[in-house]
Amino acid sequence: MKPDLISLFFLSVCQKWLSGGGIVMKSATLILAIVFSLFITATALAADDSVGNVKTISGKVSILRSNMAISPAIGEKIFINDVLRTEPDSSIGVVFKDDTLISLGPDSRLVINSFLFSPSENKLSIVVNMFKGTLVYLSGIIAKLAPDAVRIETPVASIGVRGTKFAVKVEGKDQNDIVELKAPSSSVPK
Amino acid sequence: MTSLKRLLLIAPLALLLVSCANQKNIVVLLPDQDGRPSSVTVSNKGGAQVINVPNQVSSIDSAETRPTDPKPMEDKKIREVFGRALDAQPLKPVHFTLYFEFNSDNLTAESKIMLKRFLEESKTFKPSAVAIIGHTDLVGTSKVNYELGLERAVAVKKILVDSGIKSSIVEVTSHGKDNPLIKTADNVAEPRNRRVEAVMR
Repeated sequence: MKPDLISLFFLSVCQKWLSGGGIVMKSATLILAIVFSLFITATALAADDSVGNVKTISGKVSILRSNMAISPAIGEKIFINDVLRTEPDSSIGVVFKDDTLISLGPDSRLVINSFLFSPSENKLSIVVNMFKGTLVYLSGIIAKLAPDAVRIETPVASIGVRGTKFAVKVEGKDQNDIVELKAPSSSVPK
Repeated sequence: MTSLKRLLLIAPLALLLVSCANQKNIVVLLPDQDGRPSSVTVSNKGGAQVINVPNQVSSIDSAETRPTDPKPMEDKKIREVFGRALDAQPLKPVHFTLYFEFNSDNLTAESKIMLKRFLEESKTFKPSAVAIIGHTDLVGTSKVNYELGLERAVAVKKILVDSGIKSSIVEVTSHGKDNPLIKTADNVAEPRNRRVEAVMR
């Protein structure tokens, strides 16, 4: 299952959860949510080739990868499922292999869900999930070749790109955001 | 129940609740430096909105409410909200095309000069990654041309590494005759297809 489908799934679960239904319905959706979050954890541990590099760092930033928090240096490779995090008064900028540029302002959380860059096989996609903070995006080759394959997902909207440069702000609800909460379950031994 | 099991139950629940939280978003289209046309679509359960005028903003109050009609956002305000993220944008990757002599991994005289320029620029750019892709014209078999493309890319890599670029950041590939710059019939000699693309990121 593709990560973007997983986010869609969560959105639909949200709708059901909020719009009521009986206790049975709520329990069922909750159980499904548990199963799927375990699935996400399992796929997060799979190794993959790098999709880009860290290019700029200011202040305190980290990359959460397979339940390890890495303090990246300039040039650090980034991979699918990496979570990029910036502390207050910090920022990070990354370049992808298709020339896409993404930078995050202070107190931000971004997950790289999908990145496929193989023009000869027509495999093209870039999907990131922005949970919190500020992001500036400059499109690369994938947006040029397959604009529909580029998406920035936030908790309340999906942003499609026709090029070229835009900025997004996502207000986080509180400190205990999705990324911290996802972390403990990754430590469960297989 | 162990604390581990409890975490397993709590984590997805919290994930679910946070996913449902009401988190206001704004999306601003920024001007494209090269003047290319530019637009974004913002969509959710409430509907969709297209922003195609730079410096216009749409806000989204929840996953169920349609993104607002775009309206102008002052530069000063954009700077205030996105200044740090804007300052963190990396330099745009730099692309060079280098040409070769027929059936050879010798650079043309002009391209030797271009390669020097590439090296010069790399000193200020400080690339984290360099990609070198070798190409050929359509004379000969796929296999031979794949190898020739690779030899060309490796030749460029050698020059870059000899000039101080770290070998570990240089990625070499060949597209052989599959990706000509100038489309020609098979077995046509075309100097503009005998090339290497070198990118610093």
